[in-house]
Amino acid sequence: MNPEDVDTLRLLLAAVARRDGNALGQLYKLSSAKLFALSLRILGRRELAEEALQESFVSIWNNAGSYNESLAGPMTWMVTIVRNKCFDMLRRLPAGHEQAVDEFEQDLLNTLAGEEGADPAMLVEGGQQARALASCLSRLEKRQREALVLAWLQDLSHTEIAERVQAPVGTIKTWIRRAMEKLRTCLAGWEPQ
Amino acid sequence: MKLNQEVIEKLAAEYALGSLKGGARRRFETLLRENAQVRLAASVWQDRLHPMGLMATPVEPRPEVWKAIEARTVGAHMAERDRSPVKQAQSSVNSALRFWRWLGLSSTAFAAVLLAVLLFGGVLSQKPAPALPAYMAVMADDKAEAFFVASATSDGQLRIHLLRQPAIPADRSLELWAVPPNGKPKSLGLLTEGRRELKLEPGRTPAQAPVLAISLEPAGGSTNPDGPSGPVLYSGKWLPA
Repeated sequence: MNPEDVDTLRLLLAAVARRDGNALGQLYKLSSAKLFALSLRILGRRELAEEALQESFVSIWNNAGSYNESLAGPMTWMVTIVRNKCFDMLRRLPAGHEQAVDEFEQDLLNTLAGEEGADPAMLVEGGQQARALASCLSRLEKRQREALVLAWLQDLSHTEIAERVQAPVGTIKTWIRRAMEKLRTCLAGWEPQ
Repeated sequence: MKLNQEVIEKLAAEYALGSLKGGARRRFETLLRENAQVRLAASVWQDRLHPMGLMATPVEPRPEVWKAIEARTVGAHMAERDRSPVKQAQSSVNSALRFWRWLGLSSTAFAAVLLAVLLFGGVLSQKPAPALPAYMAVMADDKAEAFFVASATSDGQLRIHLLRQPAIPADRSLELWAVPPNGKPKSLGLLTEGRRELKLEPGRTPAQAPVLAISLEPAGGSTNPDGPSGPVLYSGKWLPA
């Protein structure tokens, strides 16, 4: 994580809370390509992803005043908003984005290979953290990881994941619980002591 | 309420992941509002997982997306301001121009924005969004009081906005100048009430003439062919927007 980038985002969010339109523009320039890529992963279709991004930034403008920097990093906060807006739209679709898991596997490989981040402005806050999480996710069993991705990226419940991967619900619950525990331990090894 | 740390941890993890649904989720959200320990556990898990959303290769959305966002946020905010009894300017100005005017309404807000531009301008100047000007210049007097803001697009369209009315005798004119690093100032013409937009000719663009100045002249403009004949009242440097 680059602390300067995080500070920049915090300052911009604080300015957006004071109705500074210029700051919103800067925030958009810094984060929109990353957040748009996330919308595409969740929704799979460009026009839907654009609508979700638009709704997200309107929400960021309206809610920046309630952003609590002691609770969440600025990018975590914005990612949460984008996920929620995408999930609102996902519920109106007949089927979710079927290729999401496969695409995420490719993103994981790219992140591990360090391909992303060629443009430092685009790294925003996530560079190091993304590599740490990618490394920890890649150590999980593939089926456990798939269950996590379906929950986080497609908003699926235990039951829906069970249907999708054709495994008993109890098994899914166990996979997710174990996978989260492994992630916690693995990520703790990355955190500065 | 005494809560079991192990249970909190497990629920917080599932909440952040998104697999906590229905009644269990609603009960957890109630706990979130009431209990700081629960909030912390949830936010720690959100921070752990959110990079899942940042692994995809960045994709630029189409410029229309920003235009729509701008209209619904900054633009809507301007419109609300315009309905208030604050001094009205011409109604046909576009949203970017109104934006600059809004910035000028208070000098504190103005200073904050200027600071933001100075702090972030260098980092963020790589690709200006199409709806925003590529350069801006704040023109201030010798007491650092801002009177005009100019914005210029990358294709050389300059717009001037008045922040406060300068006290100018009726028989005098204000003349706008592009000041190159070397050589003589080049006149951009007179500032008159109705004149807010002009096209920057080659040699007068922000890249070639990084300073803008306004001089006080006899009615009709400078009598000196090589530059201002009267005092320069206001000046400012172009900065990347």
